Amino acid sequence: MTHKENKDWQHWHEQHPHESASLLKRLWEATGSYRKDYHPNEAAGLAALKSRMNQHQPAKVVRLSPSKIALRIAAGLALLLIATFFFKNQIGESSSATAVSTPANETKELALEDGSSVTLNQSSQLDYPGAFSKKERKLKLQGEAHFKVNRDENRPFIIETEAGFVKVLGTSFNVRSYPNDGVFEVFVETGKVSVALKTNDKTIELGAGEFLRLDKSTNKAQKGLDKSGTSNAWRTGAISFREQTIPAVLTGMERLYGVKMDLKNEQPNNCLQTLSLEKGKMEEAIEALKTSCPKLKFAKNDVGYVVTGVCCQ
Amino acid sequence: MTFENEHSDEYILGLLPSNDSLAMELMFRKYYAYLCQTIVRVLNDEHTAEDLAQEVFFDVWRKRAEISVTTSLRAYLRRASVNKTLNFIRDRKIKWDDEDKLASAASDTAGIALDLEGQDLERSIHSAIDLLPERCRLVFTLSRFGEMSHLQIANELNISVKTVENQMTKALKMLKAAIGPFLRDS
Repeated sequence: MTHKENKDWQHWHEQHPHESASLLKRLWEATGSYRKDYHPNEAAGLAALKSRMNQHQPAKVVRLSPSKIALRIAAGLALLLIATFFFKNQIGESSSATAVSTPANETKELALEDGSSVTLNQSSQLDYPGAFSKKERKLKLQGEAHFKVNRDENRPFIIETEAGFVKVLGTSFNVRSYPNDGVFEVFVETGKVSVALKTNDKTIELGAGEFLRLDKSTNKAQKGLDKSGTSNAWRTGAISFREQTIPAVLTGMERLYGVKMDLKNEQPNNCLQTLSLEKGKMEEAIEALKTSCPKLKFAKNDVGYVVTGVCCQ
Repeated sequence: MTFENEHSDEYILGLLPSNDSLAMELMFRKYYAYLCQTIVRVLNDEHTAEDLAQEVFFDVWRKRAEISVTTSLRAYLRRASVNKTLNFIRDRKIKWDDEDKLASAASDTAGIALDLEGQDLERSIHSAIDLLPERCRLVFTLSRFGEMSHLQIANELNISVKTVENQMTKALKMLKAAIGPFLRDS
């Protein structure tokens, strides 16, 4: 520890007399590396500061007669008011954040400053600045949303979620990151998207039609092709399965009808289904599944259905 | 030392009345990164950190005629940037209750970081601090990086000292759980 660090540590130690000294010391040292990797752009910052200094002209020293002083003060105050107003406006524009959230029964369409558009699913929240920075377009998502991003090669569009970052230049895609469901999912309609998970170093590239699904409880990520439209079902109101497994169909029903489909069956359930699901027609969907798999049983509970039995051997 | 950015504070402050633009540049080169880092550790927003750090230097320049640095220049600038940060937080009027609820759901998954191979200490510190509930995170970072007492934090955030202590205990517990396995007793 340098002398300065040692002083800081002494201060911290005194502030937390109830904590164990060895725990405090270990956390003190470990957290010292937090954000050490961040280096601001010094040249850009200095240029910005200098331009502000130049705009702010030094006051000339002028001797005033008492009668002129009152006038000067009034003029000065007016200038100060204008300056404050201008200043606040500037700050407000560069750093004011907007938070849009949706209740449990509503979705919302948003138009962003850069021309991109967002459809926010139920019980979701999106945070973004009033104006994006020159270097990047950064947003924070909790829940699920579909993005249509205007292309800007010089300003990547970056969405931060609980489990990872989704970075694009311009494309349309869907991000799902609800705190209470065990899945983080990104699905790409058009273009290319890269996803950086917070829990490891890997960046995963996704192309059109591809999805990435992270199981948050096991931390296993899976990449695949979503041909049925499950990821977009909340917007389109329909899913059409072509030769898909029972678990895939049940996941689609969960997304479309907002219920829990709890598959209790341990045995392989791999025979393939071809069927279409439509919004608001859950009973019909279950009937259709029962017709093609007579041995599958659906028992209703308060969050959805418990599914038992096998579809085929 | 001969590095351009390592002029002594006395030299920089002495230069301020006669050659303010050079003094400001030397001061900027010496402390800008440090101030940005201090703010980013509390706010977790690089863009705003850079805006606020520039404000600190601009304030020094505007008040250069009457400024008197009684502590070290480093401590003076750090204090100023922490104050800027606190003002920013106040202006934003964060809704604590909502955020705490949301963030506590997020923090339940803090443990997953440890299951991964190749996960290093530095990364898990990052994600552990980032995943603290918002108010808990703020109290912790102000204490660790802002050199503020519990009483000062309580006054600035308009909460009780008891709440500061509770949040601090919560933060230390969660951080210990997340990064403890990497740390050996010393």
